[in-house]
Amino acid sequence: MPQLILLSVFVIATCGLVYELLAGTLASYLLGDSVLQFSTIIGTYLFAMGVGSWLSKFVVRGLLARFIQLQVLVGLLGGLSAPLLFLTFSHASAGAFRLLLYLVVFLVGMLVGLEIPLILRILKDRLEFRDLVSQVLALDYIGALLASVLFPMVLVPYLGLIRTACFFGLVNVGVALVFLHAMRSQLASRTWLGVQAGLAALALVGCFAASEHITRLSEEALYSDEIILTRDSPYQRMVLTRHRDDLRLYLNNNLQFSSQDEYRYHESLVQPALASAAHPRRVLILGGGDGLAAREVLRDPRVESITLVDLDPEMTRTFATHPLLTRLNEGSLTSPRVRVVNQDAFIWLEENPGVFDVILVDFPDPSNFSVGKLYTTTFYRRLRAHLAPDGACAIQCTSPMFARRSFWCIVQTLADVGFQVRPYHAYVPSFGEWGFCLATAREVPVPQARGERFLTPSTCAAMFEFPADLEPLPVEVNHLYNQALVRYYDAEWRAVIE
Amino acid sequence: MIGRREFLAGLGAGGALLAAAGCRRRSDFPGRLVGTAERRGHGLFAPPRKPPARRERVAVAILGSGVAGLSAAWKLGREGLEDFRVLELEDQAGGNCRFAEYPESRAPWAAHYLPVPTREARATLELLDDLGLVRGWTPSGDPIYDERHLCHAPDERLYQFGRWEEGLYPHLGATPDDLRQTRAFYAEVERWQARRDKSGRRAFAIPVDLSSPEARELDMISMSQYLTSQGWTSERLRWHIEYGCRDDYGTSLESTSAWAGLHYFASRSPDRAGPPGALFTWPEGNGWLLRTVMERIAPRLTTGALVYRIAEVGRGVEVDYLDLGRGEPVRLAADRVVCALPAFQRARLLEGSPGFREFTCCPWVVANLVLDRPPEPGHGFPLSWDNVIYDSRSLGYVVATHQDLKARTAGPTVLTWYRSFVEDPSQIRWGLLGRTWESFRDEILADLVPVHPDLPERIRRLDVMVLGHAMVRPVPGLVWGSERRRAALPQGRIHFAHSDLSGISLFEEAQYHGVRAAQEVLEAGGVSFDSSL
Repeated sequence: MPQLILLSVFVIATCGLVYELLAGTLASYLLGDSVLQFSTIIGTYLFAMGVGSWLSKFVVRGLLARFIQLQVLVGLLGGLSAPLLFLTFSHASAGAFRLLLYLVVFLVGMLVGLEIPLILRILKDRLEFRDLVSQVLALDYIGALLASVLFPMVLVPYLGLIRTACFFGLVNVGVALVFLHAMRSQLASRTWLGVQAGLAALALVGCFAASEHITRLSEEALYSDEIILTRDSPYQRMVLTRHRDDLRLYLNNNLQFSSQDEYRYHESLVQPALASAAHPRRVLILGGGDGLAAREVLRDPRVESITLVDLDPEMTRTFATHPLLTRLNEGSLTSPRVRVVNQDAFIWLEENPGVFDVILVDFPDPSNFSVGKLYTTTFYRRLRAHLAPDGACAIQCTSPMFARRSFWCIVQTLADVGFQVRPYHAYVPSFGEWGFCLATAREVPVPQARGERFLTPSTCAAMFEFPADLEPLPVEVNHLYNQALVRYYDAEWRAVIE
Repeated sequence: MIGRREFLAGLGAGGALLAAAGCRRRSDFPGRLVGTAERRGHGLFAPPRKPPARRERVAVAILGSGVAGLSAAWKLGREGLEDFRVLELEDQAGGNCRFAEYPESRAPWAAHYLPVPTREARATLELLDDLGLVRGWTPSGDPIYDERHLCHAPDERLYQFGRWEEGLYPHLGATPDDLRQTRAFYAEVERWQARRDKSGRRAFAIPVDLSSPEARELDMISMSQYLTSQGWTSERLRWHIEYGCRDDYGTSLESTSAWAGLHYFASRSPDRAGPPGALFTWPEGNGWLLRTVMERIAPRLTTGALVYRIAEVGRGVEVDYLDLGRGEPVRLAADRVVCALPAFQRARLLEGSPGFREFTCCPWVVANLVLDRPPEPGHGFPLSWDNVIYDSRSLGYVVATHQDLKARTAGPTVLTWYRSFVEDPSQIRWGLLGRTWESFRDEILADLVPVHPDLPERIRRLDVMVLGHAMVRPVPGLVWGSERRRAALPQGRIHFAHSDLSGISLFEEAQYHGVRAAQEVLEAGGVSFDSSL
């Protein structure tokens, strides 16, 4: 059966390298500093392989059975390594995680180190030594190559880390089962070995099936709060967390608000525009499916109607019905003064003729070319066509601190289509320094608005002053054909995150 | 025992089996070969013998409804001359601006974009203004275009080493020497762009006829020879330049005249206000530009008309055509004719016409892949309007719904895949016409599936059009040779218009010749008009 054994060398070599790459990737994901993580993990793994090779001399009898058990063990440990580490990271201290990480890497490395010496010994009487060494080692290295190519290009993108680990664990156990079957005549304790392999396979299959659940368990811990709601719509993944009395909404893992300080954001978005419009009767809100901007607008008795256009029906439905959320937005989405429309804002502006006294633009940050369209001259030209001559728009403009060029690019773009623009900023602790624009058709004085909990007339006026580190930078205007803003935004936030 | 070689061979066989299994699933979607021009056109080899019994009369007959023919009709209509007829072989007018209409989206069958016109392309600017694409004018008199119709970012990306990068130059893996050569090439391009002769003409203008002869020696050698003579041997740079030639001319570096090769890069100099390098595009490609014109002339358009004889008789011209719908020959008597057909056809149609053998055309294959949603974008730069695969023989694909203003477009779309055939067209054209839909489908999937593994399951249908004579090939000697000039001269009461009269197949060139021919007709008829040229 030398062919079968040689084939297994190739397979287990692939598995062995995958475990090593998994540990390295996981460590760099979770701990950062990928150079350090990869170096130390590879070092530990190779050292452990050396230890395993040395230990192989103590395995003297029943080589084939030991090899089969070794496969079961490698499969089990390697296959469960990723889920185990994920869960540990999210539920234990960093020190404990590191300890476990290196322990797992060492054990897997040691077991993998045992493999090749055992195979060489199993085959030593069936092949000439020259052939044996050349073929076994060649296949070992080719397997490693296959793993190193598959891992970044196929496995991580399509299977994810947890399922990749379980899958290769199953492959190792599969090798054990094939050997059990093919060499049943040479094995004494077949049943017992079979039971071991079967149990290991069962554990791995279970883990593979539960990978979503495991991801969620660890996600919950990563958000460090209790997840009280998740919703997947065609447009986004919504996650709502609660920690004591702090509700937080994440859309595609980006924080949208914290109930602790969202009033600062929403008063800043809403009140200056309401104060700058001559007669704020008809209000349009674009985005803002959480109903929080609508809540602020509804405080103003002059407002007769609000049209809220948000793409995602799942979002507006959830915020109109979930008790915790309706308490936060004071039931704004079901107010008789509010009409909710679920449509793309760009298309809605094109197809609907209405004119509004106040328009509030609360879109996600321009982090990709799709959303970037909602910050272009073409979009703002349409916006202008819907604004009453003595009306006012307010636009959320990302952070002038972390994305200074992006912020001033939005200001420039609004000015380019003929708006009178007054940029301003407010401090929202969970976000940092945040930016807005007040855009009007005619020049208006700096508003002195009062809010329920945050703004006073003088602090409102102060928001329109910019300190030296937030001052304008030279930027391009954002057009559909250049999407300059998305490029600024990508560069600036990447610099913040890295 | 098994050696490593057998083992690897076994792996390969396994891969082939997997691929075969994949193939079975692929053929689930329907599709067909569309376009009949070739088979219909080859009816010219056996024209009817008897003179037609059915007679018709018109002031001006326009033969061909490609960009040149429709532009002639556009100009005549603008000057109030309505007594004309347009004859078209195909069932759909538009020539290289034809498009497909699927429930999911319109999609081009050939030309899919128009760069913002150069200063010299006055007729093109006039057309854009006529179509409402000019939103206003700057104080210096430059147009301000409606940005919705300009290609949105991101416009281009290139696939190599398993990931996408922005633009069409393969930066990933380029050596310092590659980059140095590329900079040197573009420096040379800029030098040509900035250059004007004493009367203010550029060396590489659009329309070609308005170029100064300064660089005409370059028309004597191939682009490949020119690049080599400059020391530009970088494979990446040459691929990048050849991509332009394949895309605009259907020629390789070896078969493109160096003048035409440089024209591709140097003709669109950034001297107009507005976005440099911007271009117009629509779901139906350039069909959008002709739709309005087609609606205007619809009553005067006859499709399914195979013209087989043009002859000047007395003080008029006889145009004999076969009405393919009724299978009946017709004689159309006209005062004047605008022949907007490719020059290579003239010898068969026009009594006493020379052969114009220097005009050769390259074949194209265009496919429209209707998808239930866009493919996964892959690693690197996101899905763009134009998506090109490095080192592929195809030209990549464009996304029909790219100009959609919706912030998120995960719905159905159409990808239009292009391949031009740079080999000697006389050698391969007949082979192409004999190929089946299945063989094109397999070629297209073999090109795209390695890049988009999820593509097969997204395809709803796949239609293929073979354009046997898609575009004139600007081989060395054509643009500045004497035959091209001769071919544009009127012959009695017959005037000629077609992009091949420029030697390069661009919208602006075809339009220029269409408008020019119309103006020749107007002038001969003593009609006063404002020149659009």
